[in-house]
Amino acid sequence: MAGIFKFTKFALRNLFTKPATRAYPSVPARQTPRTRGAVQVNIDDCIFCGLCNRRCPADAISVDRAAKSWSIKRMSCVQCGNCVLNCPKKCLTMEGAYSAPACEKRSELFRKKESPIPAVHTLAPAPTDGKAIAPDRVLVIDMTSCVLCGLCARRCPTGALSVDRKAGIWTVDRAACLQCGNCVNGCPKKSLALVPENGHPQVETYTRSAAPATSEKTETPITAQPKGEIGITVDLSTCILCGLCVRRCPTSAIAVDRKAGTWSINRQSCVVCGNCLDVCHKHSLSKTTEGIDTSGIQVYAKTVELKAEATSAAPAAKSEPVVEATPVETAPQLPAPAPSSEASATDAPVGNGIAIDMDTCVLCGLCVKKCPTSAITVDRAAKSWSIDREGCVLCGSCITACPKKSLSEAEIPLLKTYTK
Amino acid sequence: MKRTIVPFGPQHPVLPEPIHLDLVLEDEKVVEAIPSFGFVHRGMEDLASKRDFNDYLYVVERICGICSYMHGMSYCEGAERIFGVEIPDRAKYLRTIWCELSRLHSHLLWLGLLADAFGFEALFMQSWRIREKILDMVEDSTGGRLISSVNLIGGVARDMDREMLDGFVKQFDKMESELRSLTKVFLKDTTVRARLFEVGVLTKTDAILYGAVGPMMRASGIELDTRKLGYAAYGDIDFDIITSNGCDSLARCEVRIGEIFQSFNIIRQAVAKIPDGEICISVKGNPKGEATVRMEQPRGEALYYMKANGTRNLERFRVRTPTFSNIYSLLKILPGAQFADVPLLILTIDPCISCTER
Repeated sequence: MAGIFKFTKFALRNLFTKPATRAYPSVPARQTPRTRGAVQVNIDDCIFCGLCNRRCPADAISVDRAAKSWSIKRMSCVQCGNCVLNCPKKCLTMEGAYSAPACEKRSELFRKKESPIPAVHTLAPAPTDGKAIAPDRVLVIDMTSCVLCGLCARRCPTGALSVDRKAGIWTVDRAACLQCGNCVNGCPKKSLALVPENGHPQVETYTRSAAPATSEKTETPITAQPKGEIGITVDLSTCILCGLCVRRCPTSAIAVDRKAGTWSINRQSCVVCGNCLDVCHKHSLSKTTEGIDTSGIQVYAKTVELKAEATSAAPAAKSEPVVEATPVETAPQLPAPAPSSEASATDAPVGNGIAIDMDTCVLCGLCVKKCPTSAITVDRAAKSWSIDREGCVLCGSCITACPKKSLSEAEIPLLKTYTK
Repeated sequence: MKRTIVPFGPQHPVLPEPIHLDLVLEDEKVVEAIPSFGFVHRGMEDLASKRDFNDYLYVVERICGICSYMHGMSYCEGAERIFGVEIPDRAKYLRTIWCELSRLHSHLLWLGLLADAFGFEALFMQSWRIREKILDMVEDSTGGRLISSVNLIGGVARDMDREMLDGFVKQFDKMESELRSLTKVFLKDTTVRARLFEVGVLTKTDAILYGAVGPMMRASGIELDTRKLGYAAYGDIDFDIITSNGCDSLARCEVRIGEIFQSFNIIRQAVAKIPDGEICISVKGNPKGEATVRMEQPRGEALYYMKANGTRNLERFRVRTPTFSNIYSLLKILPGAQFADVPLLILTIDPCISCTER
């Protein structure tokens, strides 16, 4: 029965030794120089390349190059250190201290200090007491230049902004506004500004004709297209009709019909924000100050035959070379010639990716040349055609370019290689 | 005799892991155990075909918290075999050291849990007190207590300098003497023996028949250890396979205690032999081909299968974890056991249900 006392020595020693545990959190957790606590960014060195975003296995990081902002969801981050390892500027570091416990899933936004806006904001749901974050600046708008495109409302993380184009109204809810400056950076017309707090009401509505009485700026009634830029024109010799501009247009003024080879714009809807210019991979779009009719829909057609089909005004254009784009005027009420996005949607099956029929494909590589985002690769030696689904913007340029009609839009998994 | 069915789990105080057993009892005696799984299935094998293979490493490490290091390492070994690259010698030794550290903390965790299962709380705390020092070493060297994130395809991300390595070895002597007196309690104490001796007997024939792996198999007298295949630096290290012929729960405890002392020795050898040089080579491009990796995790042999088709995603990724293999042996040893011994028997296979369901 001596076996029963084997533990006695332990038990006795235990009585006279210090506790082996630590009274965390009143005593801080043990830290080593290598401890992976939380990712920190030196935002001044960051070039917003987005590599950390792509390499993050937990999708915790997001980078906005245009707004020069870098944000991290602290609750999603798994502290693997992959972003720190892959950062080309070494502006990310892994600090030893763990991020503080929290009751809500918050994310932290860091912005490059170009304006005197504080670097760190908590992107929590809007605080219940609006004054808690001490807003020393307020968001104001210059309605003389605003085109009511609505980009600011889309970029707002808290939904503080609302834009009503028809009524010509722009509204800000200052209780929800975090002064992050994302709208200011995204405004194509530079109409927004963060100014020192000076007795602005919590919810303020600006209208096109005049600003509210509370605003110091007295606005003058404005025209629809201010400052001489009256419209967007397209150079169809370089345009591949990819349709990225259609997606980016805040007012849905642009329509592209790949089958008919036309690019059309509703001049009445277009607010000349220039957003389409930014997104165009081929630099085919430009702003113009004169020489266009701003009243209706304007159709630019790519080939002579299609133009003849589209409108009676074609004979004048027939003498033009094929590559030269010719604007074709159409009255807005004419239903048939104006190609709409609905028309192209019904023509082709809608899907989430491009599929290929390898039986007919001759691996000519035309699709590779036409792809605006270089998502397609063709290996003639390996007889393979592959597409990076994340790079593909589904513009359909490859479908149009394919001489063998092997490509189509379909529902397919994210990355796929096709082999003969 | 009238039969009763008692549900065990997926929530049970002894095992915070979601396994469910329908125990068919005759009086207090188990006559049959019917398992059900799938409570924490996360689809990790399928996710591999949607993620960049480089970044997926960090997901693989999270298959399991305890064998995290070994999962990450097995994945890297598999990718390196597909690429056909040889990692630097120093990286091989570093991997060996971390492997053994993870075995140490896993076995000490198991000892504590076992003590807890038979109601010996003080023993449980003492085991975990020693384990804490190992975890500190892991954090000192990798930056994480459990999830090391230190492996890379082509080597390791962090080096350990001479000072750190010698510091670890210096601590081992004290830990070993503490452990020796602790393990005496496990192997010699009358009350502990009463709970373990000749409980849950898995004969050698059954162990082969039911495909047991790891300490479970070695406690049934089968001499097999995949470390002898010589991955990482195990080829250069001298060690014996620890077996026991007891075939019962005490024998499993004995084998794991033996492996703890063996791990100390392996690390000592590795620290003495570790060469200088690079710790990582750069591996570029996308993998094409397939690889099968067998690794001795603390819980037993794990099998990794990876198939790559030249894109940045793997085409197929398959993991067979040690617990998956040992479940059959568990179902073999449960019938005939007392109902009160069921939690203990489940623990003796060192189950990791999150691993199993991936």
